[in-house]
Amino acid sequence: FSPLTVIAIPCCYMASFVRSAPLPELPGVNRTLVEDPGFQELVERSHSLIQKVLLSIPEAHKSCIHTETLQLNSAENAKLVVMAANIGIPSAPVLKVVSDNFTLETCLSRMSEGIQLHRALLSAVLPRLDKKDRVNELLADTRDLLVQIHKMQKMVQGESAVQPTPPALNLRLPGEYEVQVATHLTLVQLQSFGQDMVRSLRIFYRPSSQLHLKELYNAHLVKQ
Amino acid sequence: MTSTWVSVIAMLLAFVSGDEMLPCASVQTSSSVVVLGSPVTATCVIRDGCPLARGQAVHIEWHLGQRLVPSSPAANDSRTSMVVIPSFNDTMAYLTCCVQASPCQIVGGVAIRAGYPPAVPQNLRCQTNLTFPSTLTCRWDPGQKETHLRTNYTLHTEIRDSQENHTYELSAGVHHYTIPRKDFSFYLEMTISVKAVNELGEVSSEPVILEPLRSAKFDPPKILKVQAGLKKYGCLGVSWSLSQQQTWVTISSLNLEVRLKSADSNQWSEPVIPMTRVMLKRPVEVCRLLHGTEYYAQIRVRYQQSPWSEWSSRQSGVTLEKAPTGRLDSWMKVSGDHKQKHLKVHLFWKPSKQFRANSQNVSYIVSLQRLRGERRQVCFSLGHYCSFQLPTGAKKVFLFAMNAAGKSNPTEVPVFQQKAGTVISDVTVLPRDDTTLLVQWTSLASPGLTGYVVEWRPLLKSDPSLLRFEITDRNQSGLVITGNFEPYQPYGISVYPRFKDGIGPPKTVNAYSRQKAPSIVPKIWVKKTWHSYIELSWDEIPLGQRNGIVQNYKIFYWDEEGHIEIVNADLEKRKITLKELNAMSLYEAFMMVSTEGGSLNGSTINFKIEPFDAVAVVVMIVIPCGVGLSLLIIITVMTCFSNHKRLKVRFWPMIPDPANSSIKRWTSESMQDIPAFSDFEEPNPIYLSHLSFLDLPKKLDKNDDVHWLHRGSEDTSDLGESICGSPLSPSYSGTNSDSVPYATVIFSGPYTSQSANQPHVYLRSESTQPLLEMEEVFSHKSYQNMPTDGMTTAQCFFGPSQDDGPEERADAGILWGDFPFLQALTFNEAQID
Repeated sequence: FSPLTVIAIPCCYMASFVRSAPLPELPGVNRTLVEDPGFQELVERSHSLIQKVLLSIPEAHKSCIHTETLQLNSAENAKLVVMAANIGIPSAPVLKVVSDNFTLETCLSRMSEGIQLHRALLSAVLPRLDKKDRVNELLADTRDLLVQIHKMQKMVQGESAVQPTPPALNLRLPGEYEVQVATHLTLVQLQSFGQDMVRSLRIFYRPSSQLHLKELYNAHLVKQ
Repeated sequence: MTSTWVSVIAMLLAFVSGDEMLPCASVQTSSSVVVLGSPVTATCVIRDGCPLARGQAVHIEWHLGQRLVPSSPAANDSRTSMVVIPSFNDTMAYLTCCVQASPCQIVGGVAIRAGYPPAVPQNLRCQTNLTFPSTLTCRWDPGQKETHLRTNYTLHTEIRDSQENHTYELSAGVHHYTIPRKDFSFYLEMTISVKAVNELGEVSSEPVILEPLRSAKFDPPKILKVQAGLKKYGCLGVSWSLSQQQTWVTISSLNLEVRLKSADSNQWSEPVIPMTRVMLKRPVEVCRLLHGTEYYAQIRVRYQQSPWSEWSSRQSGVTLEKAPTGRLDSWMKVSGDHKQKHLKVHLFWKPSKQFRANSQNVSYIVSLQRLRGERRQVCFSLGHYCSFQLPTGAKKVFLFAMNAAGKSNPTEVPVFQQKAGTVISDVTVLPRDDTTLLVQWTSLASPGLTGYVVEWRPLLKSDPSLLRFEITDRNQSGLVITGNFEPYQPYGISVYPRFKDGIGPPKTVNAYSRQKAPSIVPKIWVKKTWHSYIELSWDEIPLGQRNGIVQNYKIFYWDEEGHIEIVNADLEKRKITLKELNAMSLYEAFMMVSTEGGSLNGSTINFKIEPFDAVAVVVMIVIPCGVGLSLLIIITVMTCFSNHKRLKVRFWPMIPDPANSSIKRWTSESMQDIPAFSDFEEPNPIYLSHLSFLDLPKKLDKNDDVHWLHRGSEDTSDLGESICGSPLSPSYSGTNSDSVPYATVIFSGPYTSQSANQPHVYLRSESTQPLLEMEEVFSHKSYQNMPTDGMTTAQCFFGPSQDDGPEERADAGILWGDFPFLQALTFNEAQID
């Protein structure tokens, strides 16, 4: 199973719903729980953080990758499948539409795993990078995101929810090129995984608190 | 002092040289750092081996700095001394122990510092920066009290959810710290405190608990569009977004503030318009705005109680239009007599306080209402002025405002009559600044007075639309008028009294918002001089170059000796007379023109009073000449009255009327009225009864002379006979009882070519034969002047008026027979030819 397949064809891209649409009756979802303001706040925060990650990736890529052939959103990335395997970059967990077979708990767990994986990958390449600021920012953002996802897991599974431990990675980075490829593939994979996360979170996102929040203020303007 | 230290060093060296390396004394204190003002205790112990104490009792003194401090020896031990300083008030001082010798030897000392414990850090606040790299910066105030001791601060953070604690050591005197992104989470609460530590203690600030994102100051948001919604009257929707770098913030609890100002306003609306919990990417709507008005909008944003962002850049939008509402203030000036069929009307208007154009494009319509009630539009204007003819039948004028959405209710403008009588007695204008003038007036008590109209206009611009006005009530006697008054430009300001049924005559003054010296000074010239006086004159300064109200024209003049005189000229007359000038001196003069804003000097002229006495000239020449001329006129007039007829003939010569005269009468009576040529002497034509013409050849040969002489001898005596005996003169009788003198006129050329200025020669005839006797048989004939071709010798043709030319020519001989005298002239002419 190629990790780039996951990148190219996100498992749950179908889950792109209109934000303001009412929450559909989804199997495997505790509606009461999801509509809880606390849960919604976590969803909202997670959404914000993953958006921030997605916004930061192009800048991080620009600051770290100096090889012209390594571009985000490029078809040339399909040529790096073997390199990914050689370096030892694991593929990201698959996110699917929540269903009886893919419950909310599973979805949150996959999210957590995926974020941890990419944090581990970024941490692995970080010492080899010349400019670390952007990657450090990504690490901080994913750390915050992980905290929010864990809070959601706790709400779904209770206090018994166990935060998964970071995967043990053994990246083979003998030279500068491998570092560039590993960083590039990490960012590409994180970008794809983040977009899947956005789609997944939108399913849970109930903007009920936002509906009709607009308070029209009748300004007492001085008539001139 | 120097000798003391030298002694101490010597003693100590001696002590050391004794192979005992121990100090001579030891000084101990309760604390080297104390609270300022607290007691300090110290002990000085002299060692046994100290040379200063060897074999003798020692006396120990204490010094705090330079001051001797009273002390007491320890009981039973003269080598130990203890000192107690009840209140240590120096921030740092050295306490020294001294063994009394000659001089006193210092054997030990200790430094004591005093101060206060650190103050509690105050006002700890933190703000998150969302711009890369994200940071959290905390600041605090160290407290007002000076501790006099070095105080170090440490910043402590604790994130309970992630069980992270951080401590940041700060440099001395630094009261802020920026926490890196890795040490805080946007959505995790963290407890932050500051600890201050010095040698007297440590203290922590009140902890601050915050969620970093809620402490973030956002970048100024962006306004994407400002527009009115469909049928949303008085409302504008503002589409907005966060800055590009902060669009990741999708939280729903953002607060927004909107502020607006109309396009023609300088100030933003107060208070600002709050929008709580706004929805991202959804436009916010602001209502209760003016219709058809362009507004500028700005927004700012914050997350819950975080600091407000800076205001966004502004965007404009226009609310939907509605028909104008409210009335217009108007000012109608009627010129012309009401007896005329039409009156000239200048109508000015402006929005009243209640007027709302409700549009950016408003036009105005003026219509008349006749007696029968029908309305007729007379003006359509985009401005605030209209001029039209008002028929006498029109009694009402209506003013409408109109825009694309509709037309306002009419504003009725009364047609006032002009009233006579002075009401406004005085108007003064005081400039306040470049844009305002204070107009004040005084008025006479007048019944029916309802108020005043103050109008002003730039005098150098003829455009009537530049006229502005204000209407005041009767109790006002002053008004501050505001406008774009250009400095140094004249404005005409008029105050009209307003009555129930008319408008009184205005009082008008010129005014300037700011004045300066005139641009030019008129050139002065000498208008006239007399005796020791000289009158200087000058032209008026053009209004556009006065730059203010002329206060005075001042003439400076001086003579050759430098005696300067200064005179002020009358503002109205533009001339001045300089008196008592020295006739022998050359004078110089120049003019200075002043306004309230300054003065300008003109060019210098020179003049001199001529010694010639003009008055004497008048007395000695002009008056005698006048008297003489008057006498001459009187004499002439009297002469004319006495010889009225002669005068008449001289100026209006009598033309004989052949139809009413005979040749006798003509010669004897009428001809006497014909003035004689005065160029040469000639016999009185009264006595000339026979005339013949002889052409003198220019060059006469002898024969000719002889012939001429012969003929002369032959004809002279028969001259009259040759004519009178002619058969062409049938009426000639050949008898004459009276003696009549004869004359022959001799021309120097052909008769027909005689010019008027060539004198003729008259040859007097001695014949006494009468020429005519039958004049009385002439019938009265009319005469006429007629140009006849080929008859250059006879310009005047006598004969019946009804006769045609050719017939007259055919009858010429007969006619000449009627006029033998003239016939003789004709005959002679024929001979010449």
